[in-house]
Amino acid sequence: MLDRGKISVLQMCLSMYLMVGATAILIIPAITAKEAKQDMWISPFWGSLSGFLAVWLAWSLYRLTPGKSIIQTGEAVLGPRLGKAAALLYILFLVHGAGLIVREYGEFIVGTILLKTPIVVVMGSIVLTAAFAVRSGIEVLGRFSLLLGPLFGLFLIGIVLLLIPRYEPTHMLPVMENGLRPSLAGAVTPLTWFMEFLFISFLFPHLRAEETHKALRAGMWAVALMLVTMVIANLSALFLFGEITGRMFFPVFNASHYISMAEFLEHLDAMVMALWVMGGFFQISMWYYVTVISVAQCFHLSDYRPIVYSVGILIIVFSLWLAPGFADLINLFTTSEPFYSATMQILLPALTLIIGLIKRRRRPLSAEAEKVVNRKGNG
Amino acid sequence: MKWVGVAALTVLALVLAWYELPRLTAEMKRERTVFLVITVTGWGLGSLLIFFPEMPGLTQLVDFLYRPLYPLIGKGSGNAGE
Repeated sequence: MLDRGKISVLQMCLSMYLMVGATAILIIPAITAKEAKQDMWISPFWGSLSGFLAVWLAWSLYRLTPGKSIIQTGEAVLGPRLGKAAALLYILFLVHGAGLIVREYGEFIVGTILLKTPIVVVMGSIVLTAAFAVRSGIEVLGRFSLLLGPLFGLFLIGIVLLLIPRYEPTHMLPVMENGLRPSLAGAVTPLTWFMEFLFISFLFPHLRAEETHKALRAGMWAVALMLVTMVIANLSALFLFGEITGRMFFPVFNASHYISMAEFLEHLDAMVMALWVMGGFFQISMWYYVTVISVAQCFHLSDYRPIVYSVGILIIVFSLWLAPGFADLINLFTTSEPFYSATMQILLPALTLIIGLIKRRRRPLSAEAEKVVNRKGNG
Repeated sequence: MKWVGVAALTVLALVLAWYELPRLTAEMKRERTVFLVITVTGWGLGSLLIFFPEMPGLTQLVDFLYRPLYPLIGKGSGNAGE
């Protein structure tokens, strides 16, 4: 195995939560609000369905070929040639996805605090920092998630609670004025985000053996946690801004400007920004890690560390290549990105799973797979 | 200014090669190949982007592939602007 690090189920759960989390709270509320208006808090419920499906797919593929990530499962199930083709498609998607997140982070920083810094500098420094984390391996990332996850949750709850005096819950009325349609239309972007939970597949092999049976439940918990977070984030943006949420870029961040408690707790944006830099750092590290591991597994490298920095350059290049400006980036999320994500994160794994199940019925995929089948038969 | 960017990127790629390549032993041929391919791809694409920032890429390809499906999510059809 490339990375011998071991993580606990809790670390896996929090890592996945943070891998999806930071940008989900930053960018999604505005995009959802455009379509769903006052029903924007319902959209994450529809959106989370793809998350649960993705975790289930990743787990089923893992059961089919234990100890393998989707890249290796693809090769075991589809054969060396088709498997490699699928792996290359995944790598392209991952570099694209990592680039997307680096860009979101960069646009956020450049758009809110470092107004005069070139975006390349902002993105370059975060990718370099992430590169150090990636080189340290999954164990370090897992432990960091344990540190950051609760902090992230507490901060978010803190913002939401401190804003309570300013809320106007009437903004959410009338609920479902136009039926389910607006909330479903607003769910397209959350659906895209939740699909990212498929990459939990890269964490399953690192679970301690005695905890593997809890993996599926932990993955589902991560999705549920994300769902609750998104509903809370959307609700607080809605209560605070009402329908103009859709015209903002970063509603939850803007919301933190409005915190004012007893003329003492004010100007918390710097704290919030610090939190987002950490969250963004972890999210970028996870995507970066998964990308690097995919490349290493695809080409059967003995070590993933030599390619970390080179992949970083590629990620930055892709992040600049994606779209000329932030508005084009948002446009991407509401047009091609949902379909591209669905193809790579739901359709392709589902197809692999179906082919794998058919093949296993004829003959076991490998010695390992056979062992599991026997164990199940005996147990 | 553009050449400065390319020069910086070149220096970056060279520093990377100087740092990583000596660590790869003679048996790690595959690692070396993959490293070189990725670094050169990153360097090449990056340099091209400095000169042609609007160069079509994956975004345009994906957009082309999925455009017929946009009406499914209410984009590209008549009521998109609503």
